[in-house]
Amino acid sequence: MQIAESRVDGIVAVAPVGRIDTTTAPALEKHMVALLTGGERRIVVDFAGVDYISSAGLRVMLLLARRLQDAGGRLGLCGMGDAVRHVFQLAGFLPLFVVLDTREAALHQLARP
Amino acid sequence: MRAVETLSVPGTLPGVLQAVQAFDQFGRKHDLSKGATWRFPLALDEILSNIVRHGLAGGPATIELTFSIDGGDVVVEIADGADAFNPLLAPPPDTTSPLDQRQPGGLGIALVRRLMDDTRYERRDGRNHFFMRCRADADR
Repeated sequence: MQIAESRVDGIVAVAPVGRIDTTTAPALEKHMVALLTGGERRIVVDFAGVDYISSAGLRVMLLLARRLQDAGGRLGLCGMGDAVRHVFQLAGFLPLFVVLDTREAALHQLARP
Repeated sequence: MRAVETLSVPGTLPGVLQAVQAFDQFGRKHDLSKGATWRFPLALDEILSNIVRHGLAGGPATIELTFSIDGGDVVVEIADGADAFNPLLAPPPDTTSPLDQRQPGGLGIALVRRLMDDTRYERRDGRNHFFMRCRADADR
């Protein structure tokens, strides 16, 4: 799995590409843990390049959200296609996250004081 | 239209990927809808990784797969020789607790049940057989 990353005004945007499943979730988790360990506190995950996410990926998102909450950080999700959004909805995960349509909207949301 | 493909994969995490990639090929060959081409790989990932981690627990084993098209439906059968285990009897997952109390267990099988039109389990000849069925033209 490729994971693209960019930074805007102290917010890091992470964009995984491909499928988030049993095979690829460990790399995504490692990436996210490294960001948290490195002190990042405002993270946007952009799903625009993600084909689908399985329960292995949902676990990573849960872990990331909890760690950020505990650290007083903020998380925004964006770019969800139909498959990703459908899985979040079936798993009852949508209410746990701030979900915006576009990366611009997510960055804007996290930039607010 | 009726098409059947069978294959065996090792009961390991690389075997799970092999099965998913085999289904991708099957999907392209039979021009399955966008919906079917992500629901089945996701479901295979969930069911097979569960078998590898819990059922086989690292022991040497193979998992047999059958992909078929039956009328307007795609049917996938997964057979393994691990101890009897019916994933459909797993307790429902927690989908309502707040973030700090949310338990992720059981989500995989719940997703499979909700993404497929039908799921079925049977124990036959000392093996687990799990079947899942979904319309070949499933949307989303």
